[in-house]
Amino acid sequence: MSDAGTSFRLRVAADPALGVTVRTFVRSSAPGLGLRDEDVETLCLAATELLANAVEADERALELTLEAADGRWTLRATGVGPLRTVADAEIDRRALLSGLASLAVDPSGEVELSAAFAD
Amino acid sequence: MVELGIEITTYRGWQVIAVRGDLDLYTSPSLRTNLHEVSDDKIALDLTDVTFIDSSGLGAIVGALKHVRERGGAFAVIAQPEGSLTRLLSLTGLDQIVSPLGRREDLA
Repeated sequence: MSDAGTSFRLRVAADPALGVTVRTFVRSSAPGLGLRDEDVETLCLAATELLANAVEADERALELTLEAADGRWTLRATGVGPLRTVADAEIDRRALLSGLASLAVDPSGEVELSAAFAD
Repeated sequence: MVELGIEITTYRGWQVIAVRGDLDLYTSPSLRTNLHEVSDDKIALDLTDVTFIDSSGLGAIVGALKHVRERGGAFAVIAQPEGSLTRLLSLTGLDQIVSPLGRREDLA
């Protein structure tokens, strides 16, 4: 994990056992970014979904960058793979992430989620 | 690494599966296995002590719900009304098929 000003970065193997690590990254970054509890809850879910997608898409590693500026947080991810549908419940992960924050996926596959700080 | 705690008891004729810990891609297969091994007609999944849940965990719950209802059984979910499960159900639209009870005492 690295801290460059108000930006925090984590690179992990696409391993389902590392969900706890991803959520610990979000929670430990929160004070430095001024995130509220609701933001942390949202980001823990988003980051975990991105890891799960990376695992299901057979990616090797996931890199997360979390930053905040001007009252907004941004989570960028590479190594996510194409966003998939969750088996059993047929949950569209793209729709789920869009429900959490503003979602953008660029042609290279980088995912960006952004939202204003919770009230 | 966090393991999932699962405790199975009976309450008012329901087989209650109480889950403790984080329910995600890593831990949900354990829950899925336990849920599919239960053969009672009335199954309640108590998620009061679940500290985190993602779509993989929700998938395990919905899969179990389908499994139990296909054989004519009853399936109930117990969770904190303002908790992460309620939010996830709303985000995914699955609140139309899963309506958590607030307390174990609400089981009929």
